[in-house]
Amino acid sequence: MKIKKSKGRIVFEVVNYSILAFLAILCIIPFLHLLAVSFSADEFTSKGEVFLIPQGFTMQAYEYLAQKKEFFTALGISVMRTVLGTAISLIVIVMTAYPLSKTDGRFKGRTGFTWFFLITMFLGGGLFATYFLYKQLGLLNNFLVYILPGACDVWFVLMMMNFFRGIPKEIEEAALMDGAGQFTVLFKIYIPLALPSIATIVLFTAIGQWNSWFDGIMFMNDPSKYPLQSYLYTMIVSSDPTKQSGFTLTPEQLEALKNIGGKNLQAAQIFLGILPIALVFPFLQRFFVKGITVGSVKG
Amino acid sequence: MKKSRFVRLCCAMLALLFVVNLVSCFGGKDDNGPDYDDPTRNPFGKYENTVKITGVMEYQAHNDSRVPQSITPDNQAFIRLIKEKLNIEFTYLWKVPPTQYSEKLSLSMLSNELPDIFKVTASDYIALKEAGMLKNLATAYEYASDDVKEYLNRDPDVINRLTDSDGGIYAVPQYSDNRRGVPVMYIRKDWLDELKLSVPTTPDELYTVLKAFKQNKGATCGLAMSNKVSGSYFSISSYMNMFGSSPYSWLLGSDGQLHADEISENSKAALKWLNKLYNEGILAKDVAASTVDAVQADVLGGKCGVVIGPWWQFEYPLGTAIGNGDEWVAAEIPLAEGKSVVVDREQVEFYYVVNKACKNPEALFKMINMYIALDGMPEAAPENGYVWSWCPTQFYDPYDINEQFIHINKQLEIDPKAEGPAPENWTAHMKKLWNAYPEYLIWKEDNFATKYQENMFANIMTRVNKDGAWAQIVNVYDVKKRVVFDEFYGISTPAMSSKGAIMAQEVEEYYLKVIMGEKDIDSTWDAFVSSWRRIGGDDVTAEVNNWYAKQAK
Amino acid sequence: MLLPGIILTLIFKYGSMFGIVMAFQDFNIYKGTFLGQEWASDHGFGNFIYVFKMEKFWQAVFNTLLISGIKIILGIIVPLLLAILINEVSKRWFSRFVQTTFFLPFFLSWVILGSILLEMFSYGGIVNTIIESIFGTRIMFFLDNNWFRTLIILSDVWKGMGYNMVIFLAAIMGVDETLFEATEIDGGNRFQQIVHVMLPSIAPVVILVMTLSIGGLLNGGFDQLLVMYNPMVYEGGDIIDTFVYRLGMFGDRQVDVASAVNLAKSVVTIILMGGTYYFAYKKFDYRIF
Repeated sequence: MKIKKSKGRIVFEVVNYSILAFLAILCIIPFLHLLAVSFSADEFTSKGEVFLIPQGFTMQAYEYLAQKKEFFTALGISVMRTVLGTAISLIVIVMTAYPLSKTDGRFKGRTGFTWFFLITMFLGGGLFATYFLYKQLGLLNNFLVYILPGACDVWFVLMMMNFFRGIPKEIEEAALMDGAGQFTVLFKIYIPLALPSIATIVLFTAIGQWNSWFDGIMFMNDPSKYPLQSYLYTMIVSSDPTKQSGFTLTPEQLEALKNIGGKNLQAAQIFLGILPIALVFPFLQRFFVKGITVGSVKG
Repeated sequence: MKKSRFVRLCCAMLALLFVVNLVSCFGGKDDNGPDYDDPTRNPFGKYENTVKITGVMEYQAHNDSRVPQSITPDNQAFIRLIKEKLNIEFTYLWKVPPTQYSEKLSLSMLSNELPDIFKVTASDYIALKEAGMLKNLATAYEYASDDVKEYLNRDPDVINRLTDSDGGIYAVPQYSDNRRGVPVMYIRKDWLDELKLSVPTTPDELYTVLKAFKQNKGATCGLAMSNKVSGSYFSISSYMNMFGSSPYSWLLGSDGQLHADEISENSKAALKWLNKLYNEGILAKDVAASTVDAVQADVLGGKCGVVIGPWWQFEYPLGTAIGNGDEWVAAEIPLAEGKSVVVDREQVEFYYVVNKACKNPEALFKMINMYIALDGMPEAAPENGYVWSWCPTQFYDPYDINEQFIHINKQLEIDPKAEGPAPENWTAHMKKLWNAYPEYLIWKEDNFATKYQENMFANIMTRVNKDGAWAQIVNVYDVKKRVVFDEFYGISTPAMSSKGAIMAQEVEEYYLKVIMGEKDIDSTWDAFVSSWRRIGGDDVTAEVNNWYAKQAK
Repeated sequence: MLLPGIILTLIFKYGSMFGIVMAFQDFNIYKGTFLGQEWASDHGFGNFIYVFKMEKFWQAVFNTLLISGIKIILGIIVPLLLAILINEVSKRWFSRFVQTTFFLPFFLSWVILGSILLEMFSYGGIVNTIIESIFGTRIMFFLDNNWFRTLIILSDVWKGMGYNMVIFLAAIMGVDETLFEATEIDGGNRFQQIVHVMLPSIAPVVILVMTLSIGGLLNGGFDQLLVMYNPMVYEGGDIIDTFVYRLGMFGDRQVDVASAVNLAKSVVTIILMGGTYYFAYKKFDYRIF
């Protein structure tokens, strides 16, 4: 679709580009800051003198991390849980959302099922009950705990359902007339049509998987099984000196305090912890293109 | 109907889950068989049959590059050594970051999978003991090595208070010297000299010095809120101590009753002084939102000339500033006339306890013995895979710093330059300080020209020097005896549990508003006190005094 | 086809719901299990009454509703605008670049972002230096209740805007091109196309996101506030979750109280959602879910 560029259009585009560029800068500043800190010498970072330009440039933090085995183990687990978790979640979500996207007439009890899922978004048994349950199911200290409990995320099911609904019913009816089964309709028609939304779900599920740290800490018994974010938590948050009880540090706490490592090391870890997942987005963007529209398929 | 079949399926599954849960709820450990016994009570006796002990761990990565990469908490030297020397096979049920320890321990209690030995806080200890979940350690205590016995008896009161009337004792306390609670003033000596000022000895003099620092150096005062009045370092409460004030402490009044210090006249005076500082611009304009990080940046950036804080501030973070050439020195906290520093009566860091189901409670002591015996031994070197911060039974002399201070200084009287060897019977850390001392002297006499060793030198400035940080504490505590005690060391009373949060909120809000001049202290103080009493202060005071009366018996 | 989803939900979500009983118990973790616990006072409602009687609790409820309400509204409008604006960008590389950057803040946790903001917006911080050079005055963002709320809300909207933006973008991508072409032939300009074609087409998604956001009305952003607030702004910045958190810090592990508050929040939320759903259905004959 070509738009003839009127004068107003040009003004609009200038304004539009400036607004977006300004906001983009706002969003990128914290990262530039982290990056600058990670490349700065500690004597400058601890004085709070580094903002966007590294002072006393050094690669020391990255060199240190490069030989840190735990970091890479955790990274591997994160990648694994993200890939596996996203794949399984996607299958479950699509399969759950598809029937729910039908009208009441076509699928009796649809509303009931929807609420069956919906309620779990707001009502839960709390950590104690959850831990107890996982223990019974043998999920403690088990890699599956990263994947199964969150596989059927209601938020995404509802979103997927909504996207499916936007696909005209005529297509499905036509296919059913031709003798196709529901599975065929789903995989041959709905999924190809819903690629942008599936990309969205993949993106969000992957981010969710990548970012979660609490499950690792609570349900794994050994730090060697932590994903990257849990590992980073032990390195950064839980060694925060302000969390320690001030005056009467035990020698062990004092030692930990001294061992936090420089701010550059922390920043480098945070930065490297984000980098892999931040790369997923540009990769998925190619599914966000126009063209695969209903109209073109119909025609 | 499809729907009803679905409902039935749901019900069936839920029922199944509940049954599974119920069964496990009732299933406990069986308690048969007698405990292990060794008539000789050998503290280092090796078991004939392998003894399996479980524990849990507050996991924190270590940053010691000397430790081989392959070392994990499960295969580190201490675990290996207790297997070789004691025949104890130690395994961790779980490891968790320190911030989640208490949560994870709760989960363990709830799901009936407590380890054999573990570390608890005072309130957990009391509650677990009342619930009958702890092992009596009376016999196990006899296995303590001489060193451990000596450490435990440094303050016999602590053990006495732990022991029941029938001789039962259910925990091993790691307590510490309450001298550690005495704040020290750290001040920029080079600035004082430059401005021809002397080290302040009263709050008024300190105010004058701070004002001069502000005018000439643009410096503020090292004080961060970090969301609360007391707690972390650079805290308000260490400054309030100059006036004998210590919020959330309970001090004995002349009437023989305990009084909450949040509402004392001393606290009022301290707040007034702080408000004066704020008005002069000596405190950060948005001090309520100031963070430890920001103050640290000021300290290191030469924008702060005075810090009142704990004994270890030379070691962290002032040591770095000294390395940069800033001349920080320690001085006694400048107390207001007739006022004393408030310290805890009893300072227990944590308790080691043993699960009732454990057959080998003495293993706890054997492991503690071993931990102390290994201190400074070659087999316990980081290069050999020994990570002391990962040991399950860390234990130390509660008076370690005071001991270091006394013994090293005694030896320095004989050997002022530390040229001879350190006495054999010293602890590993004392020897390390001793060995580093000559280099420290050179660094100091060379006018700081030689290489600065941040860790060791800061240790010496803190723990050895006669004008160091610990020396100031000894002056206040032992020489001048200007200390009073926080007499309450029980667990939260019912009213504290239910109303403490609201009361604390009132206190913190009011304190900050007064310091920042939003409220005038003279006209609002009485209203604050009566409001504090009304929302729970009176109830808590009554309960605390009840508790105190019981302790006296 | 529903089966995997149902089984997973049944086991993992409904399976742990027995934990709700905690809200009605006088819970003592040292007693070991869920069964051995005593019921709370007042026929099991003691935990609820205990919290609801505190005056500061209702202050926190008010703050939660206010902060959260604005966050939800802006959290829809801003991303929607961004999505529309980005859709108008014809340069592909720019569109991609901007989308990616908008997403970046989402990856940072509040612990990290909060400390950066505390530094930047402090009285002597860089933001205030800029403000001073323009307006000649400095602002105490963390001490003034109104400024603090503003900062909390805007920074949250900023951090989360990439998320909803992607949803809306995906929805816009799904709009049938032929509809645009139809209005173009009718002589509608771009703005009219957006208002008359695009917005109605993506309305279901917007309404869904809005309804689901209402589910978070009683949350308000615990992580964020915990890092950024201080006693000076309790009055305007204390939300239900931070309030309950502080209760737990003083009373030893008040898990029963916390779970009572959570249950109350859940019930209110479910009623709100049900109400919205019912309203949309009865009034407009529209099913949100």
